[in-house]
Amino acid sequence: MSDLRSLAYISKNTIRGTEEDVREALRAIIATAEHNNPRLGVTGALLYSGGYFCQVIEGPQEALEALFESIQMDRRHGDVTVLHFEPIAERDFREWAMALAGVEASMRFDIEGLRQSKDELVMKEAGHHLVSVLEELVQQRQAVLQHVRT
Amino acid sequence: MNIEPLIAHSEAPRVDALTGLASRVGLEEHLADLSAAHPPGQPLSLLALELSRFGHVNDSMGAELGNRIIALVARRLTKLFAHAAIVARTHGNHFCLLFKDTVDLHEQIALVQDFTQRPIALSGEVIVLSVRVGAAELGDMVETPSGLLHAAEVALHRAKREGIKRQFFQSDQTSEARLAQQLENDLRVSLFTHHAELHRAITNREFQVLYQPIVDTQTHQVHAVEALIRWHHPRRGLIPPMDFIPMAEQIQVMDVLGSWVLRRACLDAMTLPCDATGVRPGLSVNVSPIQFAEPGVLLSTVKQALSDSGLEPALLKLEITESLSLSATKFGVLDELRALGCQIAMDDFGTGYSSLTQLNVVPLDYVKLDQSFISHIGGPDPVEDQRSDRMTRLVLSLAKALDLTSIVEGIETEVQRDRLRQHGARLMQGYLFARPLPLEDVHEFITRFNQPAQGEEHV
Repeated sequence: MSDLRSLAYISKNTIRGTEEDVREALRAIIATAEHNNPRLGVTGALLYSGGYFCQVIEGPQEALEALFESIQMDRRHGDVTVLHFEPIAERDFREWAMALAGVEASMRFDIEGLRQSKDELVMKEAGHHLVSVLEELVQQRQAVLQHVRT
Repeated sequence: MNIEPLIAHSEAPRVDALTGLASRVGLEEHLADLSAAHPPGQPLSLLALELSRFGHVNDSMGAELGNRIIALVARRLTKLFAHAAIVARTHGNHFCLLFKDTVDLHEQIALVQDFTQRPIALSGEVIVLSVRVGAAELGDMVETPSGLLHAAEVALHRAKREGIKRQFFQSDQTSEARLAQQLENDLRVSLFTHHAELHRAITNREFQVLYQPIVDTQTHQVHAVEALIRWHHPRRGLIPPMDFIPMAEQIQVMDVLGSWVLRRACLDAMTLPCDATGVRPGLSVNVSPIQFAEPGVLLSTVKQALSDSGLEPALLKLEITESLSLSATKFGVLDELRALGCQIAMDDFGTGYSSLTQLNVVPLDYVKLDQSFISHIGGPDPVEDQRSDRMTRLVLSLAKALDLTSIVEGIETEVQRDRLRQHGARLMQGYLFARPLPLEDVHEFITRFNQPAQGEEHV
């Protein structure tokens, strides 16, 4: 697929409520994504940490743009910063309509610092870093799940 | 808002074709309807939005992407506000939200800013817009629904001038200062709204160029016409140039206005009837000192206007004022304008601060005598009459000594005309001959005034 792209962003959680409310919301977000994304040809991963959403979505450009726009209109988050939006050769999360990479995992990079940064290169690098962190987390969880199953 | 009935009448579109939102006309009509039947005490408020980095987006990424972005912002606004407000696209990158219920405007503004400034992914690009908001509510300061749009736009432009993101319409000034302020804002709004599509100003007839004949009293031909701009304010009526030109200079739109007038006038001048010898009347256009700040722009504006209209350069007089501080660079522009074939006239001659030495070196062809010199000629006070007479003769002979042709302004009576002729002045302008006239009327005047070449001299 020639127009395959990846988009990574971070945003601030605006859900007010208990931790359980946030978890409930996350479950709902994942459920919606699992329902809609296969049809759009979109895959990706979501991480929630320290009041921030970090998400990577990948798929055909137009589908990705439409999905991102609907994500933008979601009132459950705000202060959205796009880290990258670029062509990719292959998917990083091909098996996942939307993998939940974690809810409490401590972030390995400085989100506030990133939000202040105006440097495109720094953002891109952070985006790539985010993708690999998410990938790692997803694999870890997968391993844990498989371990539990076997 | 049900837009179906609005589409039916298509002469002035009430619906914006790109977004399907109400257009400016649609919104204005809706406000007018509300003004006619608005229950007293019912709340009404309006937000005027401007996507402030949009021009840049349009320039760098192309108009097609620009249109897609506008359509996307329209969808965002519709999604957020359609249940509570009328959403309109009033112009280019401008939107309006009209709320008919009690709302917390601060909250609504925060919502607008939050959602329009969220990133947009389109055509493989990520775009982040910035929005500015002007707000107005029905109340003590804005009494009718129709006044709301204007008030919100005034607030928006004040926000822009102050470099802030939001502003409420307010009156924190005395009424006189407020009027001046409003006038300035109105001018800003008018020009700003028309900046991108100046032709709207012409179709709306908000700005109009009038022409006052300058006649040759010896040959009895119309020598030239002076282009004079008028601003027909939609509500305040006619605003004289002396009130709005300084404002236009102050808010740095004089260049836009100046180029428009020049171009319009050159095109109009080409339609003027020639005299019996086949000579077309000349055209005199005022150039603001502000326009001299960018000599290159001025020069190319003149060249463009001449080539677009086909007007012979020798027929174009550019009127400068004596208050133009005459530095070497400005001399340079005057020289270049003359090299094009244009002529230079100094307006209000004798009222400014030019020294005689300076006058001798400024490249000039004409001087225009201010009407203050001649206003007492033939007046009831014989002492004043004599003094005016002496001064006028002095200035006329000064001009002659400098090898400049004089044009006397403000001729209102036959006595003044005759006296000036005795003193050797030929070219005159004033209400005795004609006031500033719309193009059609100046045509008629020229045809009527011009005597056949072989005719008796008769004035």
